[in-house]
Amino acid sequence: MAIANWSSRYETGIGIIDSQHKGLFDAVNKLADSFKAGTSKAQAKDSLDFLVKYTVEHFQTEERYMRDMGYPRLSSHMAEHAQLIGKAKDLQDRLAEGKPVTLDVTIFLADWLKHHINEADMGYVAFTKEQNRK
Amino acid sequence: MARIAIVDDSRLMQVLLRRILERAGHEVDVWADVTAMGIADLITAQTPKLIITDYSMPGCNGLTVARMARKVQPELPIIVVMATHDPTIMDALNRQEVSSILHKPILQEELMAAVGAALTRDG
Repeated sequence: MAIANWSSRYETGIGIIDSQHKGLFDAVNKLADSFKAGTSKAQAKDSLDFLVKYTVEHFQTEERYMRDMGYPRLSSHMAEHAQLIGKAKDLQDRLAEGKPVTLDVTIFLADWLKHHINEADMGYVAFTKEQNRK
Repeated sequence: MARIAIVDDSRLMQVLLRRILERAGHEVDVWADVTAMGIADLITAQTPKLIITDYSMPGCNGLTVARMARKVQPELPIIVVMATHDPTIMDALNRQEVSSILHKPILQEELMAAVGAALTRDG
């Protein structure tokens, strides 16, 4: 069962951002699958590495967009991105050191992703709409 | 070990937090779809030693949970879990003297450290 299910309520209406968000949902689900019984630690490592790489790329896209739009809350949004990357890299280190990383982690990540899109990302979506109305 | 109430609209998070806290020996109540008045009633009826609440929920956010808790049980420890870093919200939560504000994605270790600190402070 997927732990992160995409739905229209996560749509920003910005093509590249929506496409990358869907990619993040897929990557989180793939990471969750890699913790199922019978899969190797190498698979979990690969899935986490991919998620981190993809997330960094997505954040760069998003931050560029917000900067171009002159979004006033860019710095606090970037702080949320930095927090997520820091924790994801911490998980990478733990896996590399052979410490236990469980499926629970992916549930926390899925929860973060849903809230981040609905709360933080929708902030720059509203700002964009407001700018376009002017 | 303590009685802990979880306030979260996400079924997945309810299950996960319950499992983590019960594994640590706590007794857990899950309060979903709550209203401001409902929170006050639940605190009075179930007397939790700690509330762990999500900030962003439909109908009743974490700040409302904290405010209502202060009305019925001023010293009750409260841990708020939130996705944003909005300083206005964090200031408002700190004015309610919440025990901790945890930023998502939370890790199990930081959750348990915050729970331990909140319960210790409560005595």
